[in-house]
Amino acid sequence: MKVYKRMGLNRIRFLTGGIILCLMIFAGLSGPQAAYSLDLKSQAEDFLRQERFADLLDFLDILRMEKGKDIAELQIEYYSVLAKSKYLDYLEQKEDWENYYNHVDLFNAEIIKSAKDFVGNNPASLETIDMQYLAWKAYIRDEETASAEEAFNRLIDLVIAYTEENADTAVFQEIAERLSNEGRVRQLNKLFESYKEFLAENAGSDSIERLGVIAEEYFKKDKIETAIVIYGHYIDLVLRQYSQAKAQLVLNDLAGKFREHGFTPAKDADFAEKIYELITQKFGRDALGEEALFARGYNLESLNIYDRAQEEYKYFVKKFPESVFLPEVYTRLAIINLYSFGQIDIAQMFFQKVADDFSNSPYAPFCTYNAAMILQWQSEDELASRLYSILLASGGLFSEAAKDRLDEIKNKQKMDEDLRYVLEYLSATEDSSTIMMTLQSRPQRAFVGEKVIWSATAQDFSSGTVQPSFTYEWSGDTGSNDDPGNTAKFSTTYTKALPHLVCFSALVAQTQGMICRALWVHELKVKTPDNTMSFKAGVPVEFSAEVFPRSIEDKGILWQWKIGAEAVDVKGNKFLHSFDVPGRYEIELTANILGIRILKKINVDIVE
Amino acid sequence: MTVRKLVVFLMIFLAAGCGRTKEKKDKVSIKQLENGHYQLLVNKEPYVVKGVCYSPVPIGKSHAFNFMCDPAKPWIVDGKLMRDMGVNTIRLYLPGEELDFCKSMIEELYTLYGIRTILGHTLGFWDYPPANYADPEFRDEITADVVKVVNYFKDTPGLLMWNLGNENNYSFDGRLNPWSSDEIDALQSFNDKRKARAKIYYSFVNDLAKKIKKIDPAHPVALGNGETVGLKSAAKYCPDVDLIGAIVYRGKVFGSFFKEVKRKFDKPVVLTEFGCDAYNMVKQREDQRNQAKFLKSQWLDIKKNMANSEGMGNCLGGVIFEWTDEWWKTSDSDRDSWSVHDALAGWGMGAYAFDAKAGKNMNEEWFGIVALSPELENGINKRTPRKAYYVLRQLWNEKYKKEESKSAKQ
Repeated sequence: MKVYKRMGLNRIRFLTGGIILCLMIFAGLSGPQAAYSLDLKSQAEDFLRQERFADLLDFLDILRMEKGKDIAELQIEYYSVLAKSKYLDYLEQKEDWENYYNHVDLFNAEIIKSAKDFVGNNPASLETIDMQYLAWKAYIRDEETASAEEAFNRLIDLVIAYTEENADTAVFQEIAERLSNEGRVRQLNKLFESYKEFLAENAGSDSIERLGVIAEEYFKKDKIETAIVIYGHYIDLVLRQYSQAKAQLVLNDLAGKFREHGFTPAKDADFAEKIYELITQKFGRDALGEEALFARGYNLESLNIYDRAQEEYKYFVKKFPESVFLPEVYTRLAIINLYSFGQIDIAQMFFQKVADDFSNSPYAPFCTYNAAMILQWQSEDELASRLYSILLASGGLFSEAAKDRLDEIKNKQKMDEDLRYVLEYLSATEDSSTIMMTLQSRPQRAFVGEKVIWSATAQDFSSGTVQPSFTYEWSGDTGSNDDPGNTAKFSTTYTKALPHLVCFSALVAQTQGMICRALWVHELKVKTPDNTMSFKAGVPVEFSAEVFPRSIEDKGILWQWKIGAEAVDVKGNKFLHSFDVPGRYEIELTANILGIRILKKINVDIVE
Repeated sequence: MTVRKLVVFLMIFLAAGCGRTKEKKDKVSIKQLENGHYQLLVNKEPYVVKGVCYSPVPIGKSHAFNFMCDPAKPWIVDGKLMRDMGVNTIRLYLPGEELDFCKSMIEELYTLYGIRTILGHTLGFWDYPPANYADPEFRDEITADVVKVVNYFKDTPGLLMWNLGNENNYSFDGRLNPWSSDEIDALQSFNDKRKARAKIYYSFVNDLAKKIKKIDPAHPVALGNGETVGLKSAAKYCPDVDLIGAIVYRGKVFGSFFKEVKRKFDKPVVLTEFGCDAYNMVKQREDQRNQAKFLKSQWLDIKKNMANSEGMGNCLGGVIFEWTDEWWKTSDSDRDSWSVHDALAGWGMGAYAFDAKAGKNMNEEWFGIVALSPELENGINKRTPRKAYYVLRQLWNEKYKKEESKSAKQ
């Protein structure tokens, strides 16, 4: 739209000289008496881009005075409303509250009035939609809930009318983007409710994918809240339109995107659990496969919903008695019972189960030691000694600790005070402590040598705003940082692939709180035939890799191999290679697991 | 009227009128209405406490700095801002060592801006050596100081009420500023020890309240309590206080607080601290919007529980914690940190949902509804009102109140 304007300085109501200059520049003016051609839209948008809202309003006022000279009144009105709304947004964003509160009442009133007139007198267009959106925002600013609701409903009607007429869904996405940026989850949900129905009517079977693509875009942009809203509607369509088998598959994948993985934090563990719950509600408990069921239990653990986690793990044991993850599940059941429920006998039973039935699993030494410790604490010295002796004989990871415990038993000494104290604290039936505590490691599954941060909080709820001065103590396996001291957070690394148990205590006067958690540490292992590192030239050698102990994330690992500086053209976790020339070769393996890169190097000698 | 009579009349008028203007003492009282609700009256006129806690410690100083002796008189700038916002009351935690400076400040705030003061005494709870309410000598010492303070301030224009203690009841469990006696130590159960401490402490406050009322019947005495902890014991051992001054942080609204007070100790209550910090521990940045949102919601809940409203009718108003940020609070002992606006949270409250995930989410250095900057203006740190200031201004100052009806816009 072109606006023709003759400007005379005596008629101009500018507040500043700057605006005159600006107009002259825009219009390429050489003097105030000349006739000029101005493009309202581009000029207004220039003002807005430069955040010169007051100048734009003045400019629009001047244009108003030129009524009857081919000036698009509606456009003037539109930009006037837009300038006011943008100005309020700008002040809000800058947190210039003085100016904001000096303008907000008046501007809101004007925006609402103008928008009402504009929308009432014009058919659905991008401008009317925008005006309605601005009116809704004005009501929101005014905290006029009922009017805002009404305005938003009208906005949705306009968007649908426009979309139907123009067969273009871009406006839906534009409004969604704005709502997402403003964190308006409720309205976003409402908008996509309508969008979903619109798609279902107009796009048929294509509708699911179109909604899924939008949700995925937000997920990738890490706008998780928005992605969840859209996925909510996507799920609804999936359930309505897909076959049971396909729907199960889609929902399982979706839960997997949001759940806790341990190596990396969950995108939204709560949403993942909601999807798992939906799957079991709709398709029965057996709808979750081996990995999904384990993942659900693990996800519930990360949410600190231990009773439900235990329920899922127990069901897992029943349903997948041959699963390779069974030793880990039993170990987790033992730790949940020990640390979260204080059910020491049950914990002992699960530890013992791994020790007896899975003696070759990576978890066996850890569980054997813990089972023995509980027995020793319960004065079952004979049974404890038998388990400690197994560990001692194995010469493995726990043989040294087992020897110390055996010595205690032989010498009729009490168990090490730190170990005993934890068990006594956990088994106490009466908990009069008013100290609420949290403890977590990040990551929850780490690799050997990876930096791990343990952080804890302690809060005495009986003393309100005035927290007593706690003394903090750490016990258990704190890794390379063997004395974190009186702190609620420390970093460390671990050298052994095991579950590592850590306890955090907060003490004040005669009160103490304690919380314990486990960290899973894995190791990247490169294997060679017979675990030798020396091979003959010209003979093919198979190199293979694994994460130890294995996890349900293994399938998603991207493997990259290098011999020296040269990449090996193989994508999997194993490859065959013949070395023609004798010498020492460095084999480098990179495992990319959920975006975490783990490096492992070995050297092999090639001989004639 | 003869000239003589006229002269006599004028003399009487001047004596009664002008003289009264100069010496007039405010009478502050609490009235229980027929419906059981409570109302605070100042000179028989209903008075709603729209207050702020006032402890404008400058950047680089700690609580040991007596701002009341500051020659730059920060209250002159602050009072103007407060009046514009609609604040009618400040709460002072204690009068400090220099009583005359405190008195001048109270008077100036009142005469210049009409702002009244709730004057507190912490009863030695935060001092060194630590308080021991089981020790009669300690109680005598505190009593003497309270009596001295009351005698000194009772006629100060602008004084609204007395507030005894500041969360001292949190010591009953023996974890915070623990105090005891052989008799308490001899008790076996934790609960018995707690009850014994509550009895000693509240009885002591009751004695003080009675003494104050003898010296100064014109101003009510509040029991400064943390939350509703111990209020059942207070009802038993401290019946002579006029009201409860409660420090309550329960998120957006106060939940069952007013009902609990009614049930445990049926006295009117002023929230002598409520609020929300302006720092988001999850986002790790200043968050004025949530502070404003929470404060607005809290005030509306307070209003709902005032006399002749739909709630319990036992609330006389509230005092926002606090007027300005206090940069010293994270570390009392680390002088360097007093010049740093630390973002460490001192305690946690899950009801402040926007950053509850952080665990400890309450940032003591960020509770101001007015931010401070190192730049000086009028000899004091420059004040920048936060969003909450303007939101509260719309609720507290008639001039800025939003129209009830938006019919003009329809």
